[in-house]
Amino acid sequence: MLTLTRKIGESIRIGDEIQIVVKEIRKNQVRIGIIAPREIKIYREEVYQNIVAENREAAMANPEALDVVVSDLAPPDSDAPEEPERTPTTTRPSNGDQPHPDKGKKPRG
Amino acid sequence: MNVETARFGTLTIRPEDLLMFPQGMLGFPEMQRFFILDHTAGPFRWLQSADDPDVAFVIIDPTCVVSDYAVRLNRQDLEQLGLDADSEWSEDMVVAVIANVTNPHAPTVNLLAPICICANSRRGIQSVQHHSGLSARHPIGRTTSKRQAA
Repeated sequence: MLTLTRKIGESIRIGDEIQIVVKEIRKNQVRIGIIAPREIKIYREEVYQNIVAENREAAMANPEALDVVVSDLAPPDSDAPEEPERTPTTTRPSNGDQPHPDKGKKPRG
Repeated sequence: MNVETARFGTLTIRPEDLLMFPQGMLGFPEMQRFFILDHTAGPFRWLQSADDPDVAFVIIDPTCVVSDYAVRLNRQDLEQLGLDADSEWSEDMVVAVIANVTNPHAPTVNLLAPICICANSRRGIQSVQHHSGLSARHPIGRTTSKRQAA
């Protein structure tokens, strides 16, 4: 690993387009400013690793396990369904009549 | 075109059914082409990679799990979806979350990193919801929706 020493206000340049600025140093914390092109995604390492690990596990899903989930989630016959458009039978044909997952969401920013 | 899949055999896909994820999924940057398949029953679908037969995600409408779920997209997200950075929320936008069924008796969904697809441009992204406090492993249950629990 390349290791450099910098003072507050100094920065590091990665290629032509990325600049890392040391903004503030506290006891065991550093505030870092990053200037980078918009297409470069920036994550805290632990957030990135959390999602990568979750994606890798989820990508291995097997259909038999999903069948178990579907039958576990289907309420017993005595339960009246809350939502009429989502009649929870386990034998619904997959002819594309599932509700589209695009209802009621608005961007907040 | 024919696409090999590990779970569903060889499938014939129309080119217009392919979804492009320009940056792939986190941890899978090289996988950029996906298509959606319905599961045989229930509210789940499959997001199958057209580039790797082994990679398929289970996805679900997040409002099936949390009724008031909302996503926040920034300008770079909108640009990658092929949308104007100033555009209002588009009717073409579909939001899904990835389900983890590794333990089928304790399934979870990743509310922290939902998938957004623009039906018009056929582009998709996985958008990390920074500072949202959302979980990457939110349990799925019959009554976790706030509306149903009320």
